[in-house]
Amino acid sequence: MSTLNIAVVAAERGGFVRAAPLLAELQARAECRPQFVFAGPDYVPYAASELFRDLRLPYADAVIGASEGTPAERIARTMAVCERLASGTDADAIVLVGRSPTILGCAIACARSPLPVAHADAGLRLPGIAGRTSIAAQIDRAANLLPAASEQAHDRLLDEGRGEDTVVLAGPLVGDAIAACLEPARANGAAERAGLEPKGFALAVVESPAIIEHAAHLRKLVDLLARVQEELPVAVVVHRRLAQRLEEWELAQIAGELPRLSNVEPRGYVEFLSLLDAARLVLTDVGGVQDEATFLGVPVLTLAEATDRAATVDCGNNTLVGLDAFAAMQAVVAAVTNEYPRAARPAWWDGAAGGRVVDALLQRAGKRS
Amino acid sequence: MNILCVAGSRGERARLSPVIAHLQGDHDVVSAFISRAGEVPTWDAGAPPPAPLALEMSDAAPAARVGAALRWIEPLLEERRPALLLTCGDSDAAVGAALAASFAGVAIAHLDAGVVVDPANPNGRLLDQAATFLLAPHLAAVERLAALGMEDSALQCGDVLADAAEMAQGLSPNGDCPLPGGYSPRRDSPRPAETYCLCYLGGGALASPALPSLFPALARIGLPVLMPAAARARARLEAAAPGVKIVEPLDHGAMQQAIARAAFVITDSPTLQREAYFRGTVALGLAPADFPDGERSGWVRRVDLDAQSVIAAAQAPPPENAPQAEAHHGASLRAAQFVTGL
Repeated sequence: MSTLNIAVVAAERGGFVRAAPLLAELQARAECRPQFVFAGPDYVPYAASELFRDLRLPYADAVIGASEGTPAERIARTMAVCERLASGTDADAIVLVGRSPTILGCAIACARSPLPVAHADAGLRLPGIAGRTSIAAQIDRAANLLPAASEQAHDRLLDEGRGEDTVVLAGPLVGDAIAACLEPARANGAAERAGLEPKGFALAVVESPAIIEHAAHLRKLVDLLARVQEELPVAVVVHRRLAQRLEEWELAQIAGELPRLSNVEPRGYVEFLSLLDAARLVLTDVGGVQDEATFLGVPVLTLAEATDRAATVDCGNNTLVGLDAFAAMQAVVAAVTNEYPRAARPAWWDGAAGGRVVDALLQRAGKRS
Repeated sequence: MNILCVAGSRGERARLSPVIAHLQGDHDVVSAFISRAGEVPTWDAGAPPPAPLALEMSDAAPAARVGAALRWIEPLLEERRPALLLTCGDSDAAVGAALAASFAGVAIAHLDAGVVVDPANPNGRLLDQAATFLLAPHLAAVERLAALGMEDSALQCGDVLADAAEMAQGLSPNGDCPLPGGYSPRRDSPRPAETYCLCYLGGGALASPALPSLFPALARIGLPVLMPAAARARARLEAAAPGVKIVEPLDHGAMQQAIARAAFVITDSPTLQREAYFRGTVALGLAPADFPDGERSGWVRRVDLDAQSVIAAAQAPPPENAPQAEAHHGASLRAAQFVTGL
């Protein structure tokens, strides 16, 4: 059997986390030659980062992302290069990983490709019109092979008219990434270094513009965290944008005066997982973190009215609380008193999604040849 | 409401125009043209553009064209901050505009949603997926959208080209719009028995190796052939079609006159096949139009690029029943009301 060149295209942090186990799986298969295609801006800082080192990501075989110009200019240039990749001269199949604007641009550039073009972790949707028109849904529409992240995502894709020959139930790739990093994460001791007692604190990870870019919502978040820290110490993962907005809206001082609220800045994936694994519960608006916490069995309170990670809710691990402090406190108290329902991992969440994605790719590529 | 309308081809401009005409009174509407080289960048179906903008797109690969539109629209969205992007059809320009709108969080309306003219072209499906408002011209299009789980966002508003045709008629009420090529428009009723054949071909047919067989077939029918063509196609056509009167590309009004006065049109343009139906002219379609009314009624006849097929279709008499345009009249008003929440 001839070797298949399979290009794995990722552009941002969440994509890299999911690309890593896929590249490792492809590397382990004799019939595959993986190509890591970096489509984001600023490759060099990423290549030197702890994130890439923790994930054991190889050097990129191709850097197609542009670093200069407006976002649209960068994406347009990336699309032009991606279209050449999709013409079939350098790759036999393409896997798009992530759901950033750049990956949507790549998906559109690949939409006429004769190659198998997969979107990893397909089928994740918010309910309603926001989910149907989302960037993730558009990427799914452009792709011709859809490894679904969960049973719910699989069913959703079928409801959207995608055929059984296009949709494959693979499970979430993030489970594979966690499985690969869990041992070093448990030995890392990030919580202890931050002065946090393992299973004695809540981790807060907040990234969505819906909260961070609205002063009133950010204020409500600080109020909510103030209530939570009365019951359980809270460690907030601070990033540049959150810090800026807290300063700008004069909330940093309020947060700084809360006695049991502290900031953490995990470097790399292992340290982040170490903190997450040690947490009693996690408060977040990030879909990927909801998956990661559910995989680790850490209860999740989602700071939004809806989530695209339906599997985490259906299995009982994820409670949607929005920015409602009362609802959040009920769940926090349940977690502290061990009354939060103990959830089983959703079906297909076994850390072996990468193998199923590669099997589907090989089957499709084999049919083509 | 602040609305940005983007069209990427003559047909898309023709379809958006009557909707814009309804929106203009109550809303702040800006229309943008993203034209390819050689097209006539006019917007003249009766809806004068309040602030037209035009970008000449060269013949590039699809992703490059989408990217060019994306780059061009992004600053426009930042400057205008529209609440809605109104697009139409399945051009690369429309996809680029929708991509920019998606990134900016601007709601998208897609006119001609659910239409599938060329299954190999993914653009229409991508636009349907991105759009909050899906404006479908006919039931088959609505049913396709429903099969994709999009029925809640869809409205069967009818075919806006019926309104566009009516508006174009109003452009020249006295019939004094001169046709190119020396043909005089006649407004006799009934239609003059012998006028000319209007031939309008896009990239697909022009590139076909079977193209040279078309013109001898048209010559055997015995009518003069009038053919608008951009400069890039003209040299090839002049060599392949010695008896054909090749003229400069027509703007919308002149094109409508040319359709109305033709004995029949032959085209691979889905838009032109629909326009011919609404003007009461038989259309020989060299490519699918996804236009059930026209195909069922016999006004739109599917032909291949071979002499026998073209001659037989051209010589068959017009259908006895007139085109049922009334069912579609008001489509543009329904579309305007749907996207503005009325």
